[in-house]
Formats: sequence, C-alpha cells, structure tokens
Amino acid sequence: MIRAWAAAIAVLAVAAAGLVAVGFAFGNVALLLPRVPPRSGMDRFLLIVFPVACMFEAVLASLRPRDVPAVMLGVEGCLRLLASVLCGWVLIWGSVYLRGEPDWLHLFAWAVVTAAVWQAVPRRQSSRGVAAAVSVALLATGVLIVLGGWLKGGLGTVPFAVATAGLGWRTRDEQLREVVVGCGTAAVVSLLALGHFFGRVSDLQAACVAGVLVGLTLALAIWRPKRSNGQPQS
Amino acid sequence: MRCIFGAVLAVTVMTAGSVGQAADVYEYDLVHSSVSFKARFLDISWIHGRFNDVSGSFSLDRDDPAKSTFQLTINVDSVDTANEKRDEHLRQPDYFDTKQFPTIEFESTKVKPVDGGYEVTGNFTMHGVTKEITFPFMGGEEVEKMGAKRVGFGTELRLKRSDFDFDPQAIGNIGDEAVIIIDCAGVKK
Repeated sequence: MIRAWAAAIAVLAVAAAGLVAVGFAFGNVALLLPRVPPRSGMDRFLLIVFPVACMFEAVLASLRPRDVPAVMLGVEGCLRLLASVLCGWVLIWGSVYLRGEPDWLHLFAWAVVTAAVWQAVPRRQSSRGVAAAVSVALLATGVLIVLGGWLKGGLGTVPFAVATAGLGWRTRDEQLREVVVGCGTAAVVSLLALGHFFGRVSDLQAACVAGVLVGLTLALAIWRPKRSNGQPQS
Repeated sequence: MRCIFGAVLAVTVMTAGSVGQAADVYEYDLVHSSVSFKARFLDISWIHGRFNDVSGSFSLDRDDPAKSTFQLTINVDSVDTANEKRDEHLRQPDYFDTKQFPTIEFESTKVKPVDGGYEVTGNFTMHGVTKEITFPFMGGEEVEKMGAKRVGFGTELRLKRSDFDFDPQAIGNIGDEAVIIIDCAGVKK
C-alpha cells in the first residue's frame, strides 16, 4: 500500500517537474524571438546557423551508410570543418572580431575545435543517455553564459536543452535520434561560441564544457547496458 | 605702379589667409570634457553613469556658421556606472552589445546659429540604429588659456532606448528614456 502511494507520488513529482521544465522552456522561447533582418549574434544563430546545422545533420544522417567506412568519416569531418568556418563567420558577422586586423589564428582555432567536437560526439546508434548528456551540456553552457552576465543568452539555451532531452528520450527512431544529437551538439558549440565572442565565456570554460561533453558521450556510447535477453538497451 | 602692385599682392595674400582660417578645427579634449547619462530606476530614482573614452572634433566657421560641423565617437566599452558588475552587464548583448556595436556616433548634417550657441541636426547612431536628431548645442566662445585656444559646448539629449532597438526585456526596471549629458571642450589644432 505504502509502495503504491510512493510510486504515485514519484510519478506526480516527475510529471510536475516535466511540466515546469516545459513551461520554463516555452517561457524562454519567447525570449528568443529573433529580429528580422538579424542584427545580433543570437539572431544569426536562430535564423541562419541553427537551421543550416539541422539541415546538414538531417542530410548526413539520411545519406550515411549503416557501416561507416573510414573515408566517409574523413569526408564528414571535412564537411563539418567547412560548415564550422562558414557558421562561425556568420555568427561574428559585423562584429569587432572582423574589423581592423582580425585575429585569424584565434578564429580558425575556434572553427577547428568546434568541428572536432561536433564530429566527435557519437551519433551512430546514439543512446538516450547521449541525448541527455548533450542536453546537460546545453544547460551548462547556459549557466556559464548567465554567470558571464548575459542573462538572455543563458536562458536561451533552456529550450534547446529541453527539446534535445525530450526528443532524444521519446523517439524510437535511431536515425531521428542521431539528427537530434547532432543538432543539439551544433547548438552547444554555437552557443559556446556566442558566449565566448559576445559574452564573457573564456576559452578555458568553453574547452571544459566541450571536453566533458565529448568524454561523457563517448563513454555512454561505448557503455551500453545489456537487457536480460542480451540485447543492448537503446 | 610698383606700389599698387605690391598693395594688391598684400591684400590677396591676406584674403587667402583669412579664407584658410575661416573654419577653426578643434579636437575633443578628453581631460576637460564628459559624456554622462542617467536613466530611471524603477521610476523612483536615477542611475548615473559616464563614458570614459570619447573622441571627436568640431569645425567652427565663424563667418558662415552653417558650414560648421560636429563629430563625436563614444567607445561604449568605456561605460562606467561605478559598479563593475553592472558595467559588465551593460556591455553584454542584453544591453549595449559592445562586441557587435562598439561605438555610439554622432555626425552633424545641419548647423544653425542660435542665441548662445548652435542648433545642430545630425545622425546619431547607437546600438546599430541611426536616427536624425536635433538639439541645442550651447557655447562656442573661444578662449585662449594654458597655451591653446579652447572652445566649449554643452547639451542634454533625451532619447528613448526603444527607438534604438534595445531589447524590450531590458527595458523595465531601467526606464526607456535616457538622458545623455554632453559637456565638452575642444582644443584648436
């Protein structure tokens, strides 16, 4: 009897927490309404970079063969590097970083690391845990941005975190989960870049979030708990 | 004949000299000037601040004041409200977004002499938005002190942040209207 009550209370608590999270996420979506034409880095991320990254992930997921040959991974890596350079350029368009004599080495280093993180987070048969890890990385990015003093930028990560966790958890379609994890990772690296270039997120803080994200997701992809029938859990 | 030729030559040289000096150019004197601002806090009091890094120049044509020009550039990163954390927040995209819009600029397009100064019209650019504004710029009398010719002007501008595309969510506790107080001295080049 007590166990039934405890279970009911636990279900209610989880449902309430879920409702609060979804409400909070929707509340923050209102914060994110971009201006057209885009004027700030966040506007360009929402209107250009994120949609392009989502399309890029969807196309790659649909074209990728089931057994990924090494050459395919190399091609993917090169495409991600190209996309990172172009997206990075769009994010800092018109800002002080492209005026006068830009620090090309710093900018290119950011593009290379961004592409490496984007590529390294495992997608193939990614588990719910990987999606959850990407979601947590988005929240960590938000906390860093808020602590740097950019409140709206930090709160803006919440809808992405909730969407990544929700879609990654709910879907049974592995290909869709690959796309969700890829888009979530693109959001993490883009928001870290925005926090660094327009906020006060340092190189070291961004590297820590990206490093923990890659390490955790790779560990989760390798460690797949077995079900009683011997099949790995999704 | 030689005498007349000499007199004509002298008048020509003097006239040419006076034409060259018609417009006096002054450089913004950072040490003896200030650009400060105040905005309402919760509609109960005022928050004061200033910009510490300002540059600019004035060109004053005493004979034809309409040809005078005024130009001012404010480095927004130099915002100073005597509270480092608040200054840091003001530099972020929630407010000034200084990495995207590093300067506030004014460039005059029309100058009209009025009693005690000038009425200046020009393009004011803040937060990436340019608006035409007109304001009285009082002063302009030249004095020679400390080994240089100096001139001073002052004005108070009342601007709405919402007109310059500031984030509506950032307009709430801090009022929409900001008063910018410019008191500047110029040193003749």
